[in-house]
Parts: sequence; structure tokens; C-alpha cells
Amino acid sequence: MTRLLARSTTMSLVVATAFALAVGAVLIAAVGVNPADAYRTIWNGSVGSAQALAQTSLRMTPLLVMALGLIPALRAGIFTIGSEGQFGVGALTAALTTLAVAPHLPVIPTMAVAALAAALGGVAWALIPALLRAYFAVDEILTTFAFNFIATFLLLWLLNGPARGKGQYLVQTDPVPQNTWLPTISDTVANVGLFLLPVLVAVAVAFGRTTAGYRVRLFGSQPSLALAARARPRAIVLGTMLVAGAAAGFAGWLQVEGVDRAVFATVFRGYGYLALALVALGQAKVLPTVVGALLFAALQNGSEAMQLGVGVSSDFVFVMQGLVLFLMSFRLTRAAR
Amino acid sequence: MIAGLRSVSKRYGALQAVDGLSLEVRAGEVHALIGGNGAGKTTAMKMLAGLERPDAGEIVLDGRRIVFGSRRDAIRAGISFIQQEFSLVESLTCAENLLLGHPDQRFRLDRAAAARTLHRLGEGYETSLDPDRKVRTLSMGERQQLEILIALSWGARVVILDEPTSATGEAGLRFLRETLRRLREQQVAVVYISHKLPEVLELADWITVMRRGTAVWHGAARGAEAGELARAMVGDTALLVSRREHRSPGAAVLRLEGAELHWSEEGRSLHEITLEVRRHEILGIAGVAGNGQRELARLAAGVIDSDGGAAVRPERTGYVAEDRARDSLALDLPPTDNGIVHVHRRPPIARAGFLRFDEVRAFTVRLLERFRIDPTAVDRASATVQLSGGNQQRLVLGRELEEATELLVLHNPARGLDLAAAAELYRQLDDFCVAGGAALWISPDLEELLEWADAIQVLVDGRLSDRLPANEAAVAEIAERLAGVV
Repeated sequence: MTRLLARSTTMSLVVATAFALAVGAVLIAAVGVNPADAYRTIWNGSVGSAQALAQTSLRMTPLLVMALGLIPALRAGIFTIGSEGQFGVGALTAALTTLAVAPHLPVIPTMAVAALAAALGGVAWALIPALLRAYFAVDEILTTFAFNFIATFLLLWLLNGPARGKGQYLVQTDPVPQNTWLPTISDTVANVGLFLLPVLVAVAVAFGRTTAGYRVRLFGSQPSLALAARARPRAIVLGTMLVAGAAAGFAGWLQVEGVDRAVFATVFRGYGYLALALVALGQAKVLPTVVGALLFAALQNGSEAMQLGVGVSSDFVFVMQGLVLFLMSFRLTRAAR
Repeated sequence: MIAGLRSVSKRYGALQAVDGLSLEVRAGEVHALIGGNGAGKTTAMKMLAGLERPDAGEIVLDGRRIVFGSRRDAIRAGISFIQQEFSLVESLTCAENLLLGHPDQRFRLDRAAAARTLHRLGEGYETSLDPDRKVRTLSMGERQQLEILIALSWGARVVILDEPTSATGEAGLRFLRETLRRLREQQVAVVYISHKLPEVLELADWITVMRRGTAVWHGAARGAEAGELARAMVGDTALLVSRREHRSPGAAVLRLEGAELHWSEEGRSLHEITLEVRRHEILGIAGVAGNGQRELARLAAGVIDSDGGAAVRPERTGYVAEDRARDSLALDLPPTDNGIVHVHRRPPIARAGFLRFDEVRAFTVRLLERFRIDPTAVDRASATVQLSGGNQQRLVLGRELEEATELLVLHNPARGLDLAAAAELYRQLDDFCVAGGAALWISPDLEELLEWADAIQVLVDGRLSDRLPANEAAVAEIAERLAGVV
């Protein structure tokens, strides 16, 4: 088991998943359901049909965008856990900007402005922790975590107050105009945001081959050697943390325009933490991050189908995610030794 | 006699750390053990304190031969070893630290009794320790005081102090004087490890000088002569001959004038550093480790800037740091990433901001071949840590020699190299100097410097001595500076 896990990061993710499925089968059997039936519904509900795959893509897109944005920061040894809050701020900025701009601009500029505003919202939410880390060496784990709490309650207050849509029964903003929604692909629920993923993956891979990407990983591995390479630590800290913020904010725009159509009090759904866990356990490499995002999105989607189909609680997905991450963490301790 | 070592030896791999050493300590006396870095002082005392087992020879206590199974056995027998790195728990109070691991400690923590013990033992000291203060808030001197009081509370009859004033300065010296007086009164035997001669001459009753694992001088402190002891520490250098042909030097390549460094990560500072290295020349920096060597190396190499004074440095400098795992290599990254540290922005390695993999690989292979590492290592090792220690060092040497156009800063560069690789390093270093390069070579090994350098300056407590020629005539003067006599 551990030897298999040690081979490659992506391989270990596959092995960990297989093991988690085996343990999951026992748990499902324990609640009196045939595991084969349960897994068939998961498969059918996540990747078994075009419609299911389209559903999975809706969950995967914001998750992967956030995760890819976190890669440089984690390569630089900066453990920012602020994606969750930046995602929420980005989503709210996206919705409010769209609502404000749509009456005055054509559709495409409206979408572009809103997407940019969402990314900037994420950057703004990352800025203070980034500056504190860069100039005063304040632990980014604590500050970004604190900013997640601030974002949560700030959003709840805004959604109950100034940002609440007129006459809305739920705690939410007005819905964004339908013409600003991301167009769907043929007759599925998947939207064109999916086409961004290959581009962003290519950018993430390319960054690792640039001189700047080189200095980022050198800094993460050995700060004192990075100085010899004339890297600028502050630029690296600020740059990587703000990129992570921009990606999370942009993911918020994708969520609003691609899935939610408005910002609800339920906007925080743990994608930010899940993205961080993926990147951290994938050792900030691109391929395991992509595979992991697909896997977790499929599991979430499939477990909802399973609840409808065979009556096993969809919370089962958290058991599965937990098991996969737990097994992956063994690999990290081995590598650290 | 209370305790002693009888012809003990200890070997670590290829290194004979202690070689047939005999030594005695008596109640109420202070026995100083002095010598340069790696002379074997600490290893010898670790054997006495039960932290290491000798390969040969015996440990004697109260006239009987004993074998310690562990440090605890030694503590029960009344031997306490106070090491350079204090063994206190910073988040606990003074009293709690006293209770920690105390031989009489049972289930209940009696803090009040511990506080009384601290008061009783600490009576008469200039400053008294508050038992409820957290160790984190104590100065280095107070921590040392606490360590000694804890040792006494354990009923120590032999106390070993490893470099007791190295961290504490003048106030520490006053405290030490007081402590030694009291330990004498209580008939405790003290071994006092140091490399500072003036202190030892003042404080000790007996002196043993160690060099290369053996005692080379022993006698009473009263009437001992500093110069003689300094020469014993350095050893017989009459047979040494320079292994380089001295050339007449050219223009200055590196010049530091009155350079100051207030505070480094380790809390060391540099004062009024003045030196000059000229073309064709190797300047050796001698001195016991921990006197600011890393700071001086980084300053000279331009990794850090000074807080004052003037510096003239070349644009590109090769720098071989002492601790390669910390300063020279990113061990979890591949050898190629470690090879291109200096050149990664320059064509043909980089083009339009992108690294060109073929060029990166070819460059790294060239570095490896410079010191005869099998170049297929580039493809076999996905992380540099997979290379052997010797090959890691060769990769660093190749990279820094490639980068150096005018100046090389070397800090223990032969560390981890076999003889052939060391010879190759010396040959390439000589070629570099013949071709007009200059080198600053920092080493605790005086013999090495006498063999290769043109001139030597000694670094003590962050201050640099004047410049002395690296020849036999100057050895006595260098030795005195090393021992802090002048």
C-alpha cells in the first residue's frame, strides 16, 4: 500500500481512491444497501452519461480554477487558506457588478467587466494578508483564515441588508440578467466556462517552465538560495498570494454566471478548502490537481444521485473525500522523512 | 580524585574524535579543557557524562570503574553536563524546569518546594531567579544560571560546562567567576570546556590542551604561559609548507572597510570588518566556528548587505557556503534546478522568460563533469537529495566555480569531499587564482589555510584581526589571536 502510494503523486491519488471506495463499500453494506448498486448510481450520476458529466463539470470548474490559482503560492511555500472567503467576495462582486452595469453596457462587455471585478474582489480580499506576510512576516495561515470568517459574516450582513434584492423572499441578491449567463454547451447544463480549463491548465504548466516560476519554487524550497538567485521574496509572496486571490474571485464569477444566477447565503460551500487540500496533497503539481478536482467533483455529484437512487445519505461523499485525503497525507509524511 | 577518563577512545566513521585520552578531576577544583574546533573536547566530556560510550578505555568514579547505561545513570552518579545548547523547556517556568526529570520527582509536582530549592541554591548570587518566570523570558546568562542550579539540585558532584561564556559576554563572565567560587566551596569538581585562553588562565586550577583527540599539554593554570598554550592548541606547524606558489598580487577585487552587521538570523554581529583580496591571491580567515563566519561569508559574497562601512564587490561572485543543505542547495528540487541558480535569466538558458530545457540540462551536465560526477545523475535523480553528500558538494563547487569570474568565497569547501575530489578542488582553485581570480577562504582548520592561503586574518567575536602572512614565522602570532590572547 505505502509502496504503491510512494510511486507518483497522481498514481497515489488513484490508489487512495480505490482504497477509499473499498472502505466505502463496507460502510454502504453496513447500512443495508448493496454496494454494487450504490456505486452504479454514483457512476451513472457523475460520469455515466453526457448529462451527468455536464453536471460534474459545473462543480469541477470553480474548484479547479481555484486550485490552479493556488499552485504558485504552495510552490512558494506559502500556505494561504483564504480561497474560501475570496470566492465568496468574488461571487458577490460579480453579481453586484453585473446588476449595476448590465443596463448600461452590451452583454459581452458586461460579462468582461463583471469577471474582472470578481477577480479584483478576490485580490482585494487577499491583499491585506499578503502585505502583512510580505512586509511583517505575519503568518498567512492565521490571517487568511481570519479573513474567511470576516468574509462569511460580511456577506451575510450585506445579503440581509444593502445587497439584498428588492422583494426577494430568500436572503439573496437580485438574480443576474439571463443574457449574462454563461452559454450552455449544446443541450446540456454544462457551460462554456469549461473551455477555460484547458487554457488555465496550459498556463499553469507553462508557468513552471518560466524563469519566474523557477524562482518561485526555489524560494519555496530554499529561501536563502533564492536570494543567491536574486529572487525578490516580497514580490514572490505578494504575486503568488494575489494570483490565488484573483483565481478564487474569478471562480466566484463562474459560480454566479454558470450555476447560481444570484448570490445566496449558501455561497460558501467549502470549495476553497477542498481546492487547498487538493493542491497541498497533490504537492502543488498540475496533473494530480486536475485529476483530484475531477474526482472530487464526480464524487459530490454522484453521491447526490446515490441518495436519490438507493437512499444512502449524500454526506457519504465527505467520508470518501476524507478517506482519500487521509491516505494521500501518508505520502506527504513519507516524503518529509 | 572524584572522576576521570583512562585512555578512552571514540571513533565516528572515519573520524577518530578522541584517541587515548586520560584526564582527572578532583573535588573543589576547576579543570579547563581547551582546544580548537574538532579537538575532541565535547566528545570526551560526553563519554564522562554517559551520553556516549567509549570504544576503548574506561571511566572511573571514586576509584571504581563504571559503565553508564544512559545519561540518567550518570546523573544519579552525580555527573551533570551543561551543554552549549541549553536543555531547558522555554514555555515552562524556572521551578517547573527544575522538577522536569529530577531524580526525586514523583507523581505530584511540588512547585513550592522547587521554588524553595531555587532560592536556597541561588543565595548569594548577584541576581536571583524568580521561580515563576517563564524560561522564554530569561537572558542567556540567566538560563545558564538556571541550568547550573538545576544540576546542583540534582546533587551533582561533577559539573561539566561546555563553552559557558560563549553566549553571555561580560556579565556572563562575572556570573561564571561567582559560580566557580561557589562550586569550589561545595567541593564540586568542575570541567570547563573553552577555547578562550585568557578566561581559562584566570578561572581554572588545571589546564589540559587537546588537539586531534589527545591531550598535548597538561599542567597547573598558575604560571602557565599563554603563548605556550596557544602554540599547543595550534600544533606543530614547523613541517608545513605552502602548497601554492605565491604570486605578486594584482588589483583589489574585494574590499570591505569598516563593515558592520548589527544582527543576523542567529543573533551574531560583525564589527569594523576590514579586508582586501587582490587578484592572484587567497586570503584565509581563521577562527573557531560560531564567531561570525557565515555572516562574513554572506557579506563578502554579496548575499546580504552590511549595515555600515564601505564595500567594493565584483558583480558576479562564486560562493560555496558551509551548510550546503541550508544555503547552497534546494534538496527537494532536481539537480538541474540547482545548477542554474545564477544563470537562469541569461541566454541561452532563458529565452523570452522561459527556461529552455535542453540548455538547462546541457549546462548542468557541464557543471557535473567539472568535478567528475557521472552526468547521467541529471536524469536519474528527480531530487538533488538523492545524490550522495560528496556529489552534492561537487555540484555546488562546479556551479560556483563556473559563476566566479573574479572572486570566490569559500567556507569549508572541502567538507564531505574524498581526497581525490579535494585535490581537484585545490587544483581548480589554484588555476583560478593563476588566471587572475581572487579567493576568500574561511576555515577553522589553520593548517589548511597555512598550506593554501597567501595571508591570514583571524575572526574572533565578530572582529577581524590585522593581516598576517601565512607562513611559519607568523604561526605564533596567529595562534595568539585565535586563542584571544591579543
